[in-house]
Amino acid sequence: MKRTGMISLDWKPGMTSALAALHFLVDGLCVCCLFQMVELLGMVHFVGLFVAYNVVAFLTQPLTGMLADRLKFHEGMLAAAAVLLSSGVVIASLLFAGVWPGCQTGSYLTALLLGLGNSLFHVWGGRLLAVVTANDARSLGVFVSTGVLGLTTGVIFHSLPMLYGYFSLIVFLTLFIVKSQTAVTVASPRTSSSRDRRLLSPAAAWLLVLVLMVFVMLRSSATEAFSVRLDDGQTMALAIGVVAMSGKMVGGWLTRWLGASWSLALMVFGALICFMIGRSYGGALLAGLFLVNCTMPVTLYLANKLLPGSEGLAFGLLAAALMPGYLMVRSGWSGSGWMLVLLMAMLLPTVVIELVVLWQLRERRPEVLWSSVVLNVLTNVPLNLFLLHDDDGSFATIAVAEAVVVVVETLWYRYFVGSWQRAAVYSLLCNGISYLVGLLAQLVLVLIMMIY
Amino acid sequence: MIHLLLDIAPLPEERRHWEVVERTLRQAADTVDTITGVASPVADNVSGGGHGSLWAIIGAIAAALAGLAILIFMVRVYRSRGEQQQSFGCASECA
Repeated sequence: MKRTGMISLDWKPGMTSALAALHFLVDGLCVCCLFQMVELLGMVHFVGLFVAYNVVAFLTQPLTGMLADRLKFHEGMLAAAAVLLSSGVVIASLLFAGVWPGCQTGSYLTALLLGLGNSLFHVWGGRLLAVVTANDARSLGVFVSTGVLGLTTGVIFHSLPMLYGYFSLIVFLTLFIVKSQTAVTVASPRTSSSRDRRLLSPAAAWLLVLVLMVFVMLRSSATEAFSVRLDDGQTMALAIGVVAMSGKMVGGWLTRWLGASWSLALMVFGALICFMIGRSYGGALLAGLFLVNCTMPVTLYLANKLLPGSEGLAFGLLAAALMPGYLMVRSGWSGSGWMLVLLMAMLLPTVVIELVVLWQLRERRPEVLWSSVVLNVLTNVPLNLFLLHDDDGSFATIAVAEAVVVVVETLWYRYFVGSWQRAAVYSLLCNGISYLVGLLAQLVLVLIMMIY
Repeated sequence: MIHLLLDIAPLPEERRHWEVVERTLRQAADTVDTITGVASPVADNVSGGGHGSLWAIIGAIAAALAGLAILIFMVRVYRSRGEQQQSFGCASECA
């Protein structure tokens, strides 16, 4: 296939709905399957399975997004997602059938397969829609909206008939989409035309992407805070799902009518008012939840504008940014301001060290330097949340976690610098030095405590 | 870490003195590994509320400092290598 930078548009209007339906089913299937496994193994595995699934499903999306941007035959990504999800369902079915009674490895393998399949599906769908609809916020809103309702139905109604019903529909819809869109060719992003579409310098674009990611983290915390403050119960959970879905859908239309800036200002202002009066009026919390979710298509639209030709990466970055905010609220840490200070105190030296090392290595490209800041936010915050949560965390635990980060950063830098060797040197030196500086600081503190 | 770096991206082969540097670096890395291997469990114990040996903590600090010094040296080496070759990191590919 020749890289022409052109997009062959044979996009039928119903395809956006088909992708949205598939999103609903994929998210529903994953959560339904995980809940079934928790019922099988016991609640003690609830946190472990969901953390494993969420980390893989969300935090890998920048990497799978970069992959999506590079792939020529993007249908392969949907096929790979379908294969991974199918593998997860097959292993889960064997567990349900009692082939391996109480097998924890099989359960965690299922969570990882489902997470990776979900990650591939999301960036595939998000990128495809952004490209073929020329970044239409309405289409983006419709696509992203249905996932939350899928999650809600999975949480409330999870059962084996539902699992296999969703799975059958996913297989049917996947075949339908692959058959229907064979004429759609999505261009490789690294073309001169995509670079020409850049509105800003790489440094400014990446700085704004970072701002968007911070906004998404805060939005994720706000969404969780709204949800946590609302009463529990199936009816309310379903109401939250419907409200969140409606918000994401309506947000796309508002962005189209009012423009990104005005709609974003209106939504944030409205959500703040709702949150403030939410203590007195329960309905205001639902309205706030609606408005917070309205911002999702806006941020996606803006990220795609900032990183033209890298729509998969843009989608993945915003998806990954959901995780730190979600984890902080679910862990009960959002209420303690010092935790945020502590996380920032651990993040900032890492960012500075990495930038200094890259600068010393004669790396001057703004997109590489800024992307390293973005990468550190994505890796350092969840890493430190994990280590703070893990009371038994030792230097060895940190070292293993750092090794995972080294692999992720190597893949990341490979995308920007184009050489595996160079990417490995960047990743190893940056992480090695920041790890040893952190270790040194802790040891010196221990020494001071021992002396005094 | 240091062994891995040298394996993945070895120092330039065309300059003989790098062989000596690489050998020295590998020996230094072995020493750091040994000190860290002895001192880290003690440091874990102390930071976890136990009572470790003062000398073990000092040993761990020395190992961390030595490791840091080696990595900073390697930054300088790779930096000079980048200056020698227009395309940094392609030593083996360009050869």
